[in-house]
Amino acid sequence: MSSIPTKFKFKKYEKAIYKIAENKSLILNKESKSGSGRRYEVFDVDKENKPRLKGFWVIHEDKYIYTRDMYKCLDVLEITKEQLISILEKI
Amino acid sequence: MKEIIEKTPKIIIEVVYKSKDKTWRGFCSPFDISCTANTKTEAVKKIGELVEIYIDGLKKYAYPTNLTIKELSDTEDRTIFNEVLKYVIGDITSKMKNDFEKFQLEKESSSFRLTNKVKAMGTYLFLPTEIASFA
Repeated sequence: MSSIPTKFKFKKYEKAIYKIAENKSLILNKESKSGSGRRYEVFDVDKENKPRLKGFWVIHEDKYIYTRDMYKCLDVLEITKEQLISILEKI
Repeated sequence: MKEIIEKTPKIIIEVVYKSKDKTWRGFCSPFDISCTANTKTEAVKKIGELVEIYIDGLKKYAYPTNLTIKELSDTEDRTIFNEVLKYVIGDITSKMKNDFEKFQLEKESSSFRLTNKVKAMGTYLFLPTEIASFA
């Protein structure tokens, strides 16, 4: 992999996480409060089709997002850094 | 209610530091929240907001165990945290020691009397640390 940029466009990052969630049949919900802190909540669906909270992470919404900050989603979305970067590069 | 109190973390540590990559980093343990900023002021503001929205989420979902205590995922944050933790533990220990010494200096000896299986009576008194360590 070529050297990873230190920042990505926030909109691009957001597109990528929604795409990952969709591919994994997960529901991604964005919660906002005053300021630019955002909470991304991830749900999977149980046998009875009920959404079940899998996890969430928080990040700051701005024009750009630092690459280090993007990685908070890895655990909940069950992907690797490399997978996330690769998806981002294709968007 | 008791269950929720048991699930909530007993200590929250927020830290802001200058990273090796020259940016300012903010993080919070035990939640694995972190942010990057151009200035220290921005990092302080960002981490405060993130902690607030994270705690809102914890409250909303009744403190899920997997989100209430999470190890820091960033390597540099973890290294800084280990140093901060040493300081915090030292500070707490010193404050507890001071509080305890204040308490024991104010206390007179307490008397006791046992009358069940063992029949005994006496007094006890906490010694100030200097005397206790000398003894």
